[in-house]
Amino acid sequence: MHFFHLSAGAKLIKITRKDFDLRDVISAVKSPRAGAVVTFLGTVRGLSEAGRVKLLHYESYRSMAEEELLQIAKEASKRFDIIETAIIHRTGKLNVGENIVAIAVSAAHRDAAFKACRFVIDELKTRAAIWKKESTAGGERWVKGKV
Amino acid sequence: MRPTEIKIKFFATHREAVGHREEALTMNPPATLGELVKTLEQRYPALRQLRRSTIYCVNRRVVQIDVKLKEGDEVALFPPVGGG
Repeated sequence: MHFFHLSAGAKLIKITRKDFDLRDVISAVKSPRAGAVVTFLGTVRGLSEAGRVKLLHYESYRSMAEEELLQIAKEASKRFDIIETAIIHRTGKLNVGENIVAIAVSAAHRDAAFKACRFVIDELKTRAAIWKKESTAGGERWVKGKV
Repeated sequence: MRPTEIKIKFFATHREAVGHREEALTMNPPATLGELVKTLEQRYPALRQLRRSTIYCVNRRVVQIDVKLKEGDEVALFPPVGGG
C-alpha cells in the first residue's frame, strides 16, 4: 500500500477509491514514544433518515480535501499532546458495511489520543471537500453538508 | 491584453446541474469571479437555482464572488461540504 509521507505529526493523509486495512493506518502512527493509539473507523450504515440505504456515493475535490485534512491534523497537534495523526477517506460507491473513513492518533497517553481523534472526525465532517449521495429505495439524495 | 483562460470544476449537485466535472473558459481581462459565474449561469440555468447553496473557490480557497481572476486560476463551484 502506498502512503504519502508528510510532515511530522501527519504521517498519512489520503483520499482514495481503494479500500484500506485499519492495521496499515495504525502502523502509520505507531512510535516508540507512544503509549496509546486511538482509532476511529466510519462504515456505511444500512439505515438513514430516508430509509434503508442501498449504497453511498462519495465524491471529493481531492486536492482541496487532502489540504484540509492535513490542516486538521496540524490543528490537532497544536491542541493536544499527540505524536502522529493518520486520516484516510474513501470515495466512490460504497455498500452497506464498507469502510468509509479511518483516523488513527498516537500519543504518550490515552486521554490526548482520544480527544484528538474525536476532534479530527468532528472537523472532517464539516470541513473536508467531500460530498455524499445516498441511494435508498425511495431514490437518491445528496446529504446536506455544513455551510 | 491577452484573454484569460480559467479552469472550472464542479462537484456534487453542481456537477449534476452542468452535466460535467470540468471545463475551461476564456475571458477578457480584467476578469472577476462574478462575471465568470454570470456566464456560467447563462449557459447552465440550473446553476442559478443552486446559487444560495453555492460555495465559490479559487485555487482551493473559499472566496467571495468579487475576487479578480488571473490566467491559470482554478475555480470550483460546489455545495456545502462534509465527509464521513
